[in-house]
Amino acid sequence: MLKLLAFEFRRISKSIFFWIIAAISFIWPVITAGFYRLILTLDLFSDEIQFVPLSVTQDQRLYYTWIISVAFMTSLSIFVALFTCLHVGRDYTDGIVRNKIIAGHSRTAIYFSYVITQMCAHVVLSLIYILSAFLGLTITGIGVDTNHGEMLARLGVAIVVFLVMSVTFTALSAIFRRRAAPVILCILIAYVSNIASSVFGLYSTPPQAVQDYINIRNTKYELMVRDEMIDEKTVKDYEAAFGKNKLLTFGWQVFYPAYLITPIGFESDYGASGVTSLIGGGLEYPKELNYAQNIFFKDESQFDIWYHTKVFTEIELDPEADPETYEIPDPSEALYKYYMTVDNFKRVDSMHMSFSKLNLIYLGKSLAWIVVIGGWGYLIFRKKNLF
Amino acid sequence: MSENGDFIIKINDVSKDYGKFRALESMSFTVPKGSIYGLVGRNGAGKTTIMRIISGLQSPTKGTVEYGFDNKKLGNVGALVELPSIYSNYSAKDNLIFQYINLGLKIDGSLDENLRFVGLGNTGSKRAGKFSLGMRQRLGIAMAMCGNPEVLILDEPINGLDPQGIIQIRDLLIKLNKEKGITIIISSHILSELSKLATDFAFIEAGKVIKEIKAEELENVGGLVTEFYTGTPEQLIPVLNAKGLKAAFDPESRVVTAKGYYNLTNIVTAASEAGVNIARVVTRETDLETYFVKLVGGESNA
Repeated sequence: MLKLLAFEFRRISKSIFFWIIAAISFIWPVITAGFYRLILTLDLFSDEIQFVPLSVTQDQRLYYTWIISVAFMTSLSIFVALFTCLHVGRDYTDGIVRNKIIAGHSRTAIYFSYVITQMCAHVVLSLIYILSAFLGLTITGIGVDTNHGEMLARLGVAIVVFLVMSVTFTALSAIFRRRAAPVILCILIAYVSNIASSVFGLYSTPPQAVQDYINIRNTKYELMVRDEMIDEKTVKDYEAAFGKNKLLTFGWQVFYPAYLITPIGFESDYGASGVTSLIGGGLEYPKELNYAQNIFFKDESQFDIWYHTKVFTEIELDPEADPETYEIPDPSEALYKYYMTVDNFKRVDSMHMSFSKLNLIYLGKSLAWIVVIGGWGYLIFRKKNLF
Repeated sequence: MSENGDFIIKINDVSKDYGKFRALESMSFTVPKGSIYGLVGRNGAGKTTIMRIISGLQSPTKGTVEYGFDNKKLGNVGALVELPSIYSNYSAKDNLIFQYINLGLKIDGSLDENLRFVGLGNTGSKRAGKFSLGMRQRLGIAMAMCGNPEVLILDEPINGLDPQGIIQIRDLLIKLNKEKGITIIISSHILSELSKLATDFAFIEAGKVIKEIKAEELENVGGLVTEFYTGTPEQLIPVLNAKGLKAAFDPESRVVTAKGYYNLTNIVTAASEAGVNIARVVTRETDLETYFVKLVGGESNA
């Protein structure tokens, strides 16, 4: 096995394609940081376009550090798909895999040498990308903020999530004798995963969170009925129109199970709410993924949600408010705001999840998929007459 | 590892099925140590399949392959099956370096020596993809012989080569066998070439070995047969026997026949000195191909 690892590492180190991707990994984030720097200093509202001195808040620094460095997941995926397919595929087209078997190596050792070396290569490329992002942020003056290491932990999880793709590409490349099929499949997988990572985020709300939201909302309706703001019929209409099944759409039913069992929703979970939660003071849940926020922001086109969101967002939140002793100071004032407070949501466990727990969930899901996909590829590689 | 050291490979009742198709049917043969073992058979007879099984690329459906050496040790089997397995985007030397790493060998002077041995010592950084077929074959053999394997398995190594390339490969294989003591199992469609190389033959037909024979035995059953026409046959026979030929007289046709190869001038001179007058000489040769055709019955497309 060690000989095969040495063999593959040497091949990778001599691969021009690998070094081209490494160069892209190095240059791309620097250019991205430069682009953000340009945007941050460009004053488009003056009579003449002009540059203003760079002034970056800590929140912005944190935000840009995250989005530029984690972009390796999408930026590199198609490149590594191509690299793995061509690299492993060459062993078939040039017959080297036969050499390895004839030399006396077991199929197990050959397969896992591919998996291990490709994973290592992809980790190296990811690290180049992340470090280059930090370099780019530093030289452009935006600066780097890792939120006391919390961001580094999340980037570490991101690399493990990325390795699921790495193993998928390697397994596919190892079980096809011809190069074209895995190339097409892997690029397709990389492309679809990138799209899915955004789509899954729209359907990540747990059903219990929606139920919790409905319960809170209904309590509010009761108060509104009591104060004769709306009548019972209107409430029934609302409940019928915006019940649990209406809020959890067909798209949710399709994508939520996939979101649950795969790590594809990573970028989404750590994207919108994840990034903003890193920004100190920006949210009430600095260390939690807020599903309540998902309900508001991701489904706000629906009237019911919009109605409440409007209340939620337009008025000053009052964390001190106690729903048990609630009294409406003035019905004409912002509609029953206190029942939509963050505190109210905070009482419901299903509405939020700590990012440290989420880190573990994504680590677990990713490792499980690495084992499943890697094992599936191994079973085929071992049995099939590929040589 | 076998206790018996006089064979390098022993095929015991090996069968191989591809789905419903049986490629090998209870095949058995023994490859003596130090031999050049030629596998002769038509297309689809099972030559490549048995070579793939011996080299570990496939497993037999039934039967066993016994090795007269430790076949688990990396590099004890070298093979060039179907096409040379080389990285076309690397030089000959880089390819050998990869093979050395593959086998866990120390990269030392033996690497350049191997290249020189196959006549590729001066190819420099030229990519293997730009090599001629003969050069690629030689590089494939160089890769296969890294680490001095106990046995070298070569499937059609001279296929598609020009006459010069064929001679180079033939000389190389003889050198490997004689100088390095490597046992070679070889198949080829060019039976005349195979007959110049092999010390032993196995004739394969429909997945079975139908005949195993040594080269010298083949010479006895076939080889060159010469008919001498003379008025004094009883005087010619001792002359021919003295020259190492096996001579016999057929009283019916009154022709003296002799088996074996000879120098005609020497024979005529010796006969003349013995006072024998040879009126006419007719030769006919039973070569490997003729023998094979006779054996399998019908036209050969081997």
